[in-house]
Amino acid sequence: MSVVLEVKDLCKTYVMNKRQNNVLKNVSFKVNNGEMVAIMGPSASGKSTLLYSVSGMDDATSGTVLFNDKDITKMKKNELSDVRLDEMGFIFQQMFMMKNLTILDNILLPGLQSKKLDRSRAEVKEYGESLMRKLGIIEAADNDINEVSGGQLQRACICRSLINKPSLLFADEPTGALNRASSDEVMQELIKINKEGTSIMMVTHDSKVAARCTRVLYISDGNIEGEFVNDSEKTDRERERALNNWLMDLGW
Amino acid sequence: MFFQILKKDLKRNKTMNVILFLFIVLATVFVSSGLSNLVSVISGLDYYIGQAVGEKDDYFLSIESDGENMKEVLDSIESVKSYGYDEVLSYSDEVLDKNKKKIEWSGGISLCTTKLLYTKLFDSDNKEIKNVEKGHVYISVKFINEYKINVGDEITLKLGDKERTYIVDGGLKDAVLGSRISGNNKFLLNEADYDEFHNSSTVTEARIVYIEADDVKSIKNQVAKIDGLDVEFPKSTIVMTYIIDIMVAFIIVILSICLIIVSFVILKFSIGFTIQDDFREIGVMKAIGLRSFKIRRLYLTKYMALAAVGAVIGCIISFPFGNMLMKSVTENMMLGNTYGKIINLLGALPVFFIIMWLAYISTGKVKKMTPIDAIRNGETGERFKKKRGCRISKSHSKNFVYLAWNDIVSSPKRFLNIVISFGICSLFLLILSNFTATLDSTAFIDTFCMRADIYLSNEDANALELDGVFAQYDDSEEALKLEGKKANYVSDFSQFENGIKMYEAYLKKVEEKLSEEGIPAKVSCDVLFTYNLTFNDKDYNFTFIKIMGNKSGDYPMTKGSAPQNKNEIAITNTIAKSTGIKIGDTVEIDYGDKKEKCTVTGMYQSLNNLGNVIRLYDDAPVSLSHYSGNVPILITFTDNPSEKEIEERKEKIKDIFNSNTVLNQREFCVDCIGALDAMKAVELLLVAITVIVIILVTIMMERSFITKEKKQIAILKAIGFRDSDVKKWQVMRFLILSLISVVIAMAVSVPVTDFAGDAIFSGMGADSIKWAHSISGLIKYPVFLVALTVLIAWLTSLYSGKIKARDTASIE
Repeated sequence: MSVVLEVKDLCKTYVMNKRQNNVLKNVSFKVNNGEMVAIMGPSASGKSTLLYSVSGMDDATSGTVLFNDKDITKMKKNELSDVRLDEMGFIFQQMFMMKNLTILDNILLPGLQSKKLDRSRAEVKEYGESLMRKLGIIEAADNDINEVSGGQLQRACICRSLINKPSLLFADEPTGALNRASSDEVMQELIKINKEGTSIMMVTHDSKVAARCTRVLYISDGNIEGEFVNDSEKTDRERERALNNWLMDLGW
Repeated sequence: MFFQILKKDLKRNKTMNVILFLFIVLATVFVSSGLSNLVSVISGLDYYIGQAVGEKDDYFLSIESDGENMKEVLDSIESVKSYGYDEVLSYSDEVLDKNKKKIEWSGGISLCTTKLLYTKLFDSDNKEIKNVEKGHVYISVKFINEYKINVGDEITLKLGDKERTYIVDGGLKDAVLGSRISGNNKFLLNEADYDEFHNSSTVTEARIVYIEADDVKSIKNQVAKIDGLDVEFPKSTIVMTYIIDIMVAFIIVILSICLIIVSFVILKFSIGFTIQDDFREIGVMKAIGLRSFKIRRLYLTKYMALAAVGAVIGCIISFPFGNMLMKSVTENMMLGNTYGKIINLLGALPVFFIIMWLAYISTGKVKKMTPIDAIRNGETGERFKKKRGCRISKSHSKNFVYLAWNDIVSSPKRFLNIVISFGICSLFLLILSNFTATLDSTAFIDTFCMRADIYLSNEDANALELDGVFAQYDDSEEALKLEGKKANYVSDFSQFENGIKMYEAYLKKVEEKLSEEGIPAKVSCDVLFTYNLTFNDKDYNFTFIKIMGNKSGDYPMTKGSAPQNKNEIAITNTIAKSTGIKIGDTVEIDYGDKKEKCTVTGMYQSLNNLGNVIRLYDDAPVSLSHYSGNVPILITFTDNPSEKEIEERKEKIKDIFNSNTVLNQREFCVDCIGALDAMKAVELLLVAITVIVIILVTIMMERSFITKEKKQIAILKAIGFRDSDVKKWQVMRFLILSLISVVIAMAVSVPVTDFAGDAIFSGMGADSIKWAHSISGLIKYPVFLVALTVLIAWLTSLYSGKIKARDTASIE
């Protein structure tokens, strides 16, 4: 199985008020193509920092991050922007969108910015609408961003993240701001997307969400403390129980 | 705790607070200096004339003699309460500059000394000139400026066959005869130096009389008995002679008002913006139980502190700033008011109160804000109207262009401040540019005299040997004395019975001289006379104008037709308004030896005598004994030469008559109006102020947009937009807004220029001027303003580089 993301000895240090804070300490792991990996850990353990560092949104202090065999830590700012635009997708806990654009226009914006797929405007629009249809929000296409529910908005964010057919989707607590029903709907969509071939790396606090991923990495105090592989043969409830047991062993 | 919150707010919103503070200072500077200038301009001339001649400011006379019967006549006029007069000497000989080179001066020169003056003359510091050192001289500011004489330069006058050299101590301001369009120049000498000239042949005695009167109208006819009366005019005429200076002053005041509007628009925006941006703090304060009133008081205290400090600083700056604005005007005038610095202080107070009022209105939003705003990031989710954006899928422009345009059409109100601010600055700049272009063109060519290709100063034409002209028509002793000599003035002809014929012969001689030099031309001259006119049993004294010499066409009329025989005349709108005379009416003109009934056939425009001039037909029975002046000699080429050839001939004519004052149409207009330099100075000043306003507005607005859009910028960067794309989006908005502003300003500038120009110049007698709409100004300034805006917006947008994709995690 090919590797989409390989992280080696990644360190991230912040200096605040002349005090050094080592958030990530020699973190190494891989994400294979087609995998859905969850990052779990207690608050302030470095989960989000890890996600932002490996996605090139934040600079790493040291180490290498190979994305599709290219070291993004060596890339220039504009190259990193292009990689994020063409090859990565992002979903955040807060459903950030451009407030003067409609839902559909927000989804189309990165598609029209990218030159990767050499599509016409009509093709981008068609693809954006097909994504919306797939995620069940096509009726909200012309709505303003504050005219839809949180669940619909997060699904719109998922559509936006997929518009350029990325090889890896980063999600930072995508269900964190949603109620249980919306959260289930969003997770259902992410699993569907993953099954269609898109790799996903997700930060989550929710073991129910993490149990539906291929693998779970547990991070604590800037180190990866363990890795849990979900058994795809088991039911959701069984996997969740097994994951919770593992987490309890790690002090969760 | 109250001050703790304030202190933290000032620190946290440092940039916005600093910019807000700058605008408070700027608004105070504009209001204080603008108000002071407004009062100075409105009451300025009264103040100026009052300082110079006191109560004797109702009527003025200029007498070209020693005024032998002047006292007798004035004492006999019942409505004359009191009068005072200057004893001056009219000088008509050469003036040499520091290099002993002849100055080609035009107009008149009056030599005077303080002891023999009733009027007070002022130096450049507006102090009365009481003494002049022996060997020194003060000269009218307009003369000094026109002939580029500096303080400390030597200037030489002719005293018979000898020369007298004086050191120039400075310019003098003369209230009554010192305006740019008044032809009189004063040379103020020491008493001993003045006495030397008293019996010289190069001077003649003259008087300028200042009258305090109960009924100005009744004086007009009665003063006509004074021997040698040259010109008589009421105070309103003096006011009109300063119209150019007043116009410049008003432009500056209007500029100040525009800047005040801009400042308040920006202030309202920034106060409203800061409060809107503090939704979280306000929500939290409400959540913990603070009442709206207390929260509002917190903000009001902050704005009160900023407004108070800003107003004090602004008021202090307004003194030098106001003086700087009025510099171009006060060079020639002594504008001031009796209230002095109190006006500036009074100007600062409204700024303080208006800011507090704006703050009070804007803090009204505090009442509407709830703890929910703090939770929901300032959005309640309620919206009753859909945004009017455009669709990206239908757009064919680049994403950054689309985003910028969509922002503007989605929330036009948000960007209105910028359009208003930039629009006002652009509009004003364009109007002024049109004014300058008009004053630097031939637009006024038909308002001074008959149109010609070249205008030659009479004094220069007199350099031509006048052999034969005098003897041909007159054998009097005086004529023979002039024979073979160079005459000093064309007015010398007025001494003779055959003066008119001599004048015609003299013009013919100029024409022949040109012909000898291979220049085929018709030579003529518009000459001014003073006669009485009766209409509806009312007597009036007016200036009449008549072409003499070889006429080249009819005078252009704005209504009706040009006079075609000696019983026809054309009047100006100014005369029509003041007398009620209209086309078709019959008036009676008293030519001295006979009275003629004349029909008004047409209306025309004229800036001569501020429009108080009547045009006569060629064979009207005029006499040079009623001569009151003339325009330069008019040379019209008969072979339709090209522009280039005209310029070449101009140079040739300069050589023929050894003169530098040979002017083409444009130069003649510029010379007559005399306001071009002042206008250019004001234009430059306006450019400087516009630059400051645009820089401040752009920085403030762009910074506030970046602060407000931090979340959106971060998300754009996170999803793969480059830094440069974000900057392009931010800059593009300003580019579009500045383009909208300048396009609106360009469209509006055309009718506004025409309206404002007509309003100003119709009072002077020119009511049908075709105002130039300067193509270079229409291109130069908009391009400059847009480029400046884009540059500043781009520099400010660099701040967006501080927002990282990573910030999506920390933005609440």
